Parts: sequence; structure tokens; C-alpha cells
Amino acid sequence: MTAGFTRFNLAEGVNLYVHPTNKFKTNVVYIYFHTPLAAETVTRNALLPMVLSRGSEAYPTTAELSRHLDELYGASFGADVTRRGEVQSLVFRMEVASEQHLPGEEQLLQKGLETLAGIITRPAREGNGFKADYFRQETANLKQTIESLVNDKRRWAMVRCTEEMCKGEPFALYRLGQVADLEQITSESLMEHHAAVISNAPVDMFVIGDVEPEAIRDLVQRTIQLPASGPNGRIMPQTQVKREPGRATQHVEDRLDVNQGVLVIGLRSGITVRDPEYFPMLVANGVLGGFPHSKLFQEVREKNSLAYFAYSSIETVKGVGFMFAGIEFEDMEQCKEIMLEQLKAVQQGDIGDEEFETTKRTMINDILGAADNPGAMADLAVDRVFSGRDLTIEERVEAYQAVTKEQAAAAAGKLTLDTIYFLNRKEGGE
Amino acid sequence: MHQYYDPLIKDTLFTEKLENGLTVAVLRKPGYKEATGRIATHYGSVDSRFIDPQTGEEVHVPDGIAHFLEHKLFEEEEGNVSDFFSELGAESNAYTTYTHTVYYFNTTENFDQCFELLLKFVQNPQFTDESVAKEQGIIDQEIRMYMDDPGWRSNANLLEALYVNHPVKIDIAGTVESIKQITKESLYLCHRTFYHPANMVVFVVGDVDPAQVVAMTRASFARHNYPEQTEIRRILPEEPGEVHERRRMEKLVVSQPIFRMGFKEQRVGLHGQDLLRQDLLTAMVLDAVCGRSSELYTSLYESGLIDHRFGFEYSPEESYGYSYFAGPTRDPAELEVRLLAGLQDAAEKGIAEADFERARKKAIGRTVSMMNDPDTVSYVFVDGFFKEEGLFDYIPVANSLTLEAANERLRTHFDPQRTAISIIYPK
Repeated sequence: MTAGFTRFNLAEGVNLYVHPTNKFKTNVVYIYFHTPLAAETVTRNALLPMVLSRGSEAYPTTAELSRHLDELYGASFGADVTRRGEVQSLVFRMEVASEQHLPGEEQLLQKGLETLAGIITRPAREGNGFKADYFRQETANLKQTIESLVNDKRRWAMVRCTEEMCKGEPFALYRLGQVADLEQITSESLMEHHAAVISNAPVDMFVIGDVEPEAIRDLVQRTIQLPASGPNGRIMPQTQVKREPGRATQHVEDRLDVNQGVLVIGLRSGITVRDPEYFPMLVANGVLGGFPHSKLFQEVREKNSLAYFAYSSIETVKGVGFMFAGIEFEDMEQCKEIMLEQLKAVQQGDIGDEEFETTKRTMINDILGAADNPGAMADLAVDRVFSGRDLTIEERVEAYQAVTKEQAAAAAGKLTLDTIYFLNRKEGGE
Repeated sequence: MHQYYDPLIKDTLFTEKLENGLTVAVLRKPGYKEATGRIATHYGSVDSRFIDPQTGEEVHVPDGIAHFLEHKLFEEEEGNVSDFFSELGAESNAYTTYTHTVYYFNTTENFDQCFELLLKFVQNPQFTDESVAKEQGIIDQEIRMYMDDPGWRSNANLLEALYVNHPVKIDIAGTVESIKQITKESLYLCHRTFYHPANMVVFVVGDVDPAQVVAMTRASFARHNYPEQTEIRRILPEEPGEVHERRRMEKLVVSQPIFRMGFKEQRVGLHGQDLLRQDLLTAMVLDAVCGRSSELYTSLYESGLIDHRFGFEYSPEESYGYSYFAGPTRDPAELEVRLLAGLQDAAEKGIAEADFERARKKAIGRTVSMMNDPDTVSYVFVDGFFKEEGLFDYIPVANSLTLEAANERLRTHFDPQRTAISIIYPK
């Protein structure tokens, strides 16, 4: 058992985790392929799920595939790439309603799984590549999607800060890759890349629902046939952790024609999910800016009325953190000073009993609530794969409870200032 | 207490209407660790003109006041209410729509205390001139954030184009100017009028004791003296069937144009099952005609006019309604022509039976899936409650719809004379 999941090692680097429960009205499957986040492959990895989603051998056109999913009572299918540290994972998801709510229906999960397996392992082909039209359309779509990052100013600012902060490190790469790479990719080279991913990437599969673990194992073994792994086996990619910025604080500013400025302060912690300071660091982030009761929201928004949003976040595979707020352009210096003061306060252990307990309680509430949501459960299970630590939900709760103020302050002490990024308005604006 | 077990969904809904007019409902979710408690008032951004039930006089309050009030209720003399929820280990929030306002918390512990706090703070307005002024700064930033949000602007512009007079054309948060007009007196007046139990509903989802929830609600409301209140008269201006403007443009920092086309509802004034029938029927028609399985979607997609971000929706309310198609595109003019032609072509040919049945299956399956998530269920319940729609009516109503009705709807709703276009162009 892995925290409510029964784990089956199906082959070297291929694991299946099954969580039986009758709490939900659907059965959900997630399949992850973990690949290194690298300049050479980042864009191909992002393009692959988009092209695969267009059709399979069994449902060679997108309309046929889509009709088939509708027939399975609106089975919901999705494919995407996610990023944890310097690992870029391809994620395929299928959710079908449980038959107990659909009289007369049978084997929806099996049909859903077969469809998913077909999409991943037996794509619709043309010659030695994907269907030329689908390849061309998805290449254009990915270009547009990458470029549309600028539509969301908050995310744009976060991505830009990360780019500047981690220049030269794989972590600087945007999840969906870069437009310039697209010209180099052909339908044939993407098909070769597909073969490489499904044979070399470590695979984690999660099934959550009204199921029986051994039956699911048999079903998965019957339906999902992955090729034998390459000569090196399926090896989990590693992330390079930098403990210090190794240079003076950078100041970066972009100018766009916008109504609100976005301030992002990039920090290095070097603390990852594998370190003993992991839980103290999460709690420190909670005190600093994880919640509406946290210091950033209280000081920036509630006391000084400078912002509508003001938060911090922590990334614990790479070991970095961010503080961010949306503000008036002329408030940038004041807001920055307040944020840095709050960081300093946490580092100095200037943490009230109440805010400390409140933070831990809120984080525990989040963890416990994850058990009510299949997506959150799968997410936590992937975190566990990355941490190499097999903690149950109860053990995580205990770990939060055990964190002391001194530990949280010490962990926060590892946060060093790296990059101050500001999305400013265009000069000459009102 | 009324109790209904739905044999298909396999959940039980408990409801009780209190003497003061407040409805309390509980959806029991055995085995769920987290519970969510909500209280909602039938009061949204469109309710800025009404007859004060106490004086009988017509009142016109500043735009954005419902949303402002939502922010302000969290502030009490002893501190911010969201901090009190945090101290109990809970997360709390609120949202304002065009037609209603909802306050809620989610928690895995201290449910009773959280629930009492929720009921207490919503009944306990404490406004001062200073706190009103302070909130104006925060909401000013919220409004500016949305001014840079192309999806939001695209929808706001469509509503401005579709509607001549109806206040749905005004942003939920109001404008930087209108919120400056808000005073503590106007806030108190709106609170007294719309936060009356007869205008509210309480909804809880979780592994909780329904009788206890009802008892706690009754006790909490008994601490206040509510005068009897008949239904609040809301004054909505006359809205013609025609659209206000055919198109609206705005320039923002975006990578490519964002297209949105809306059709203005002509059959307004429905509620209850009639409104739900119209809602589900329109949603199924949209899916059959323009969903991913359709010829129209395939042809638009393969021409590179739309991508996976293309979407459509029907938004029905009692006093207004509209459907829209939206997404980024390389060529808004061509997309407009092709969409209109595609809809007309579909209306002439009619929806094939197989396509309609598939849309029905999908609607049913998605309703079952929706019941997994307490937050989504709560949203749907509250929204439906004020329209007098039942949570468990979705599947029976979806099953009752006919192909003939769908084709009739297809021919009448997508009237090219009742459409407006909103486009965000790159700056």
C-alpha cells in the first residue's frame, strides 16, 4: 500500500497505483511519462500530446475519436505536459462515469482505458509520421498557445521572472517550449520522439474509483502495451538544485501597454522535497504568503490597500520561491519594501503563535481535503514519486504538526533574493 | 424536514424551509473528509434599482455595490472574518455574480464553529467611512486586473453590445468611478433589503448531520429580529429584442485576436423547469451543432480558424439570456462568416437523431461526474435555487427533451438579426 494506493510494479520503471473507493461517481485514470526538461526536447514533448489527441488507429479522425468519447457518456479525456523541477511530464487523463449511475451500461472504464491506450501507443499514422494535416495544425496551435502566454499578465510575469532568474538552467524553459524550435520538428521526427518517450520514460499510472486493484492490474496489462525499455532503462530525470543565486540581485523590467503592474520577486531556497527542511519550508511559505491570513496579503492588501492579490509560492523540486502582487505602477518600490520586510520577519522568527498555528491548520485542512478529489489524490501521489518518501496523508499531517517556529524561520532563512521582476506600463502611458 | 434520495445519483438531499422564509438544504456525502457550507442571497450586480420594502420608495444605488458589500461584510470590529475561519483551519471566500452573492467555507475540522461563524458574519454588517475608503483602493486594483484580462474584457464587451438597457451590460464590480459613490449608508440599505432570510438560502455538502445544520441555522437567525418581508421588487428597464450594437472592438496586449459572438435570448421571463428545459436543450443543441464531434467544429478547426481553446456556452437567467461562441483566431471576419453559415446550414438540415442522442448521453454523464465535486455542486445548486430549479432535475429533464424541440430551438435561437460580435485585437 502506498498511502491508500496499491502499487504494482509492472516492469522496470513502470508502476501502477490503484486506489479503490466508492466515494466518487467516476473512475479516473492518469498516465504520466516523465522526461527530462531540456532545451532539445521541451517543445517536442509539448507538441506530442496535442498531436496524439487528434486520433488513434482505432479512431483515426478527431471527430470519430470525439464521437466515441461522447458515446461513453461524455468520457472526459485530456493530454498535457506538466513540470515539476526539471522534469517535464506528459500526462494523459481519462474520466468515465461509474456504471452504477447509468443503468444498463457496462465496462465504461475498460472502454475508456482501451481508448486511452490506443491514443498513447497506437497513433493515427501516415507514412513514417503522424497524419500530415494533424501535425501541421497542431504545430500552428502550439505556436499560438505559446505566444498567447502574454494574454495572462500574471502568468507571463511569473514565467519571465523564472526565465531571467534561471537563465542557463533547464528550469528557465517554459512548460510548452519555444516557438523557434517548431521549424525543426517534422511529422517523422516527432514520431521518432514518440517512440523514444514511450520506451524510455518512467511511467506512473494512477487509477482511482470503484475498482478492485488486482482486476485493474490485469486490465492494464491487457490493454496498455508499452514497448520494452531502451538499453539504459526508464530512468527518472534529475533536477539540478542551486543553493544560492551566486551573483548580486538582478533587477528586470518589461514594459507592456497594461493597466496594472505585476511585481514578482524570485528567491532561491535550495530546499527540496528530499530535504529535512521540506515541511518547515512549506510552513514558512504559508506564513509568508500562502493564504489570505498570511503576512503578504495582510500587509500589502489589508493594511496598505496596494493590491487585490499578493501571495507567495514555493517550488520544492528545484528549490525556488516567488512573492508576487498586482499593483499600481508608482507603488512598486513601496510594495517591494513591504514584501522584503515580510520575508525578513519570517526569517527572524517574528511569527505570532496564532498565525503560525493557523497556517499549519490550513495546510492540514488542504491535505485532508485532497482525499475528496481524485485529481488532487493523483497529484499528491505524483509528489510522492518525486519525493521518494512514502508518506500517508496522516503522516503528512503529523509532519506539519511537528514543525516548530524555529524550524520554519530557519528554513525561511535559506530563501535568498535572486531576481526582482516588474511588469511595468509602456513609457508615455497615462 | 424533507428528504429525497435520488436513485440514479445515489445521494440524499435534505431540505427545510424555516418560518422566516429561509431555505436550508444539505447534500449528504458519506465518507467525505471536507465539508463546505454556503449562504447565498438572491442579490447580484443587476439589482441596483429596487423598491425599499420598508419605505416603499424607489432606490437607485451605485453600480458594483453588491460586490463591494460582499468584500465589506468580511470586515468586523474584531478583525477580518477570513482570519477567523483560518484560525479554525478552514478556508473561506465569496463571489458575486450578476444575480446572486455567495459566502462559503471549506473545512475538514470544526465544522460547527465554521458554520456558526458563516451565519453570524453574514448577518452582522459593520461599515465605517474609513473601511469603505480602504476597500475602494483594493477593488480599484481588482478592476484594473480585469482591465488587463482579455477573456473578461471580451465577455464584458459582448454584453455591452447585446444589451441596450439591461444592467447585465455593466461589470459586476462596477467601475473605478462608480465605486467611489458607495457610502456606508447605501451599503446598510442594501444589506437590510437583500440579506433578509426570505431572500436567502443555506447549502451544506459533506458528511454532516442535516438535522443539526437546520437547528444551528434556526438558532442563528433567531438572534436577529427580521421584520416580515414580501418579495423585493427589483426594477429592470425595458429591454428590446434587438441588440444594442452589432460589434464592439477593443485593443489589448494579446498575441492574436480574440473572437466572441453572442446570440440574444428572445424567450425571457422563464423560471423553474421551463428555464431548465430551455437551458439543457440549448446546451445540447450547441454541443450537437458545434461540439468537438460536429462537422462544423471539425471544419473550423481544420481551417485553422479555431483551436482547442474555442468554446461555447448558454447563460440563461430569468430576465436575460445569451449564448456565445468564443476563442482566439487568426481571422475574426472569416470565423464570423463561417460560424453563421454553419449554424444556418445546420438549422436547414436539422440535427441528426444520432447526434442528438450522443449529446444527451454526454449531458447525462457529465451531470453524474459533476456530483463528485462539492464546490461545483454547490455552485449549481445555488444558481438553480434562485431560478427555482431542482438539483436532481437535470437528468430527468435531459431525458425528456425531444429532437423536434431541439431543431425548433436551433432554428429560432440562432437568429442572425439578434447577434453581436466582440473582438479583442492585439495592440
